[in-house]
Amino acid sequence: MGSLYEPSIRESTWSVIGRRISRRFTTLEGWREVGWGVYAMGGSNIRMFSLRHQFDTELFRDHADDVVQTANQQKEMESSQKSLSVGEFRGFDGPMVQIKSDESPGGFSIWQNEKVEQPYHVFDMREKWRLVAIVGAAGIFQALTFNIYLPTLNRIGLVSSHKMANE
Amino acid sequence: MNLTITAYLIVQGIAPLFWGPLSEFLGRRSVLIYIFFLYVSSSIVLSFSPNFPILIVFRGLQSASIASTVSVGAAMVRDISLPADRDGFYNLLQGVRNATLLVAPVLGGATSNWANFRCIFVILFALALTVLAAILFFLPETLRSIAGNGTLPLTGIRQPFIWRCKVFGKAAHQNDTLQPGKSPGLSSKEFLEPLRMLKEKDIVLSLLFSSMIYAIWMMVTVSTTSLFASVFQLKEAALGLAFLPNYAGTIAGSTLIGNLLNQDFTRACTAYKRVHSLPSSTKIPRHPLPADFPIEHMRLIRIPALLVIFIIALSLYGFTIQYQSLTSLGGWISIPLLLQFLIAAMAHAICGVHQTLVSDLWSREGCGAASVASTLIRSLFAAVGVAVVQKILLCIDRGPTFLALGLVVIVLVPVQIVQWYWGGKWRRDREAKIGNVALSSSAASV
Repeated sequence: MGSLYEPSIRESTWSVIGRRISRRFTTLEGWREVGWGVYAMGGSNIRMFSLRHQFDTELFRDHADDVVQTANQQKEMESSQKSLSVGEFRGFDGPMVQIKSDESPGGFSIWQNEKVEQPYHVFDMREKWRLVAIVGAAGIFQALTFNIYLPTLNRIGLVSSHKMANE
Repeated sequence: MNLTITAYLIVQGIAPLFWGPLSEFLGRRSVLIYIFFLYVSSSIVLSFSPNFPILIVFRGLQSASIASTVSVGAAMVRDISLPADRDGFYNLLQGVRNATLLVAPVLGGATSNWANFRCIFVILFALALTVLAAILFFLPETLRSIAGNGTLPLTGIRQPFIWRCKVFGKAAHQNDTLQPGKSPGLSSKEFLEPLRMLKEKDIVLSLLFSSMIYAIWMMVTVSTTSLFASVFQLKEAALGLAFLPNYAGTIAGSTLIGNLLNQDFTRACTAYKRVHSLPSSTKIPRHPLPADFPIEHMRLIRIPALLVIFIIALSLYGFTIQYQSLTSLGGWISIPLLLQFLIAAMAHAICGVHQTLVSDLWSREGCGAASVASTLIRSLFAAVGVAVVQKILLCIDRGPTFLALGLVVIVLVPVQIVQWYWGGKWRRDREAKIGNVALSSSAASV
């Protein structure tokens, strides 16, 4: 088991976001997590059931998103990130594993120079949120169109048979 | 009438095969405009719906138009943000979707209770028209081959109307010295990519099993209207409310499995690093996972518990609405509703497991194809299920019907056992084959 407070673990699972009651409500980061989920009490710990990790067939909230991009965009994306990750092949007997390099800042300063000119996207946060809000409004219809219709099924059945009889 | 639902589901499964590649070719904005134009037109016809055939045809058209909006939206989020920044945007999309699930049946029930059912389509028309206007005026194209990172100048339909009025907006970040981007070519290969997955044994087993579960959930959901109306004498407004436990279950199941899957993945990574004595700072890539990573076991570990609850709840469900002596008891309605909650939660958890598994297994071209393929199979299964459930209910009573569905699931359990024991071998065989093909083709090109 890794350390419970290793950031990657804490972010990705609910069961280990256990925080002592005393810490949950007395520290700033405890309060910050309050809005994230549903809680369960257990001993002197409060376990939080995070609502931020939800499986959705349409959205695919795993870490696979960036795979869809082309190699070109991938390069662009990597270049805009501050930290470089170096892919390493472990030959045929070993698995392919990516290892994050811990290069000194001077090590990638050459890379950074060309990157500053090319951010991943130029919209500022306000424009991005406006875009996502419109897209979200558009996304409503997929669930709405199907489900709004369900409670009316009986009536539509009646109407249609009447109509068919009349015509 | 279940026929309209069947038609809707079939079209819903097939349409994403086309919208996905089109949104990569024509651009997100263009595709959304076409989608909503189609949707608004079909809603106009539906709000008159003079006869049943027209209702079915235009309901199908409505379904075809709207089937991919969420995927196109998610693609736009990917266009404008890096994986690290996407969480907030996805949370918004997800929250909106959850809220819609809960509001939609209540709204539909209330509308058709106190007004003509055609008013539903008038509401949909008005809402869609608003969104269409918002898209036309405010939404810029984001497809990266056309808009780059937002600096390439947009022309024609790709430009939001508001950018044309110099008073309101400027063409924000556009660098007019650059050439407008070109859309990439369209090949039939992209349309067929999801279908190529159906040649793989382990993926087919996954899709088969989860689609069956999904179809059963859909049968429970769609039959709710007629069953609850006749058993509990509910009117439409109350029927709309009766869907709430079901959809709350859907949301709960997805949330539960999202957390469990993340937890299992973290745990499996830790174990994998320990076995291979890798440093704990090593980052194991999600796509593709190493060949000796126990993907199937990591994903399927939660299935037995979920499945047991699902089968029990499903088998009991029919009997709780069968006997008049029981259903006339005060408050009895909460028991079938509770079972619906469990059925919905478990069904969506199981489907979530399998969809994640399929996207792990088909790591070659990203996850878009995996999502489209499972939507296709699921919707087709659900369409068949909805078509037959009414017939079965007429032939045998409610209790036996849902007990029989529970038995069907039990019969399918060996599928999971096969996958647990042989899935890993099939996957490694396939990946070895792909590796060989890639090697030989690169050798040929050299």
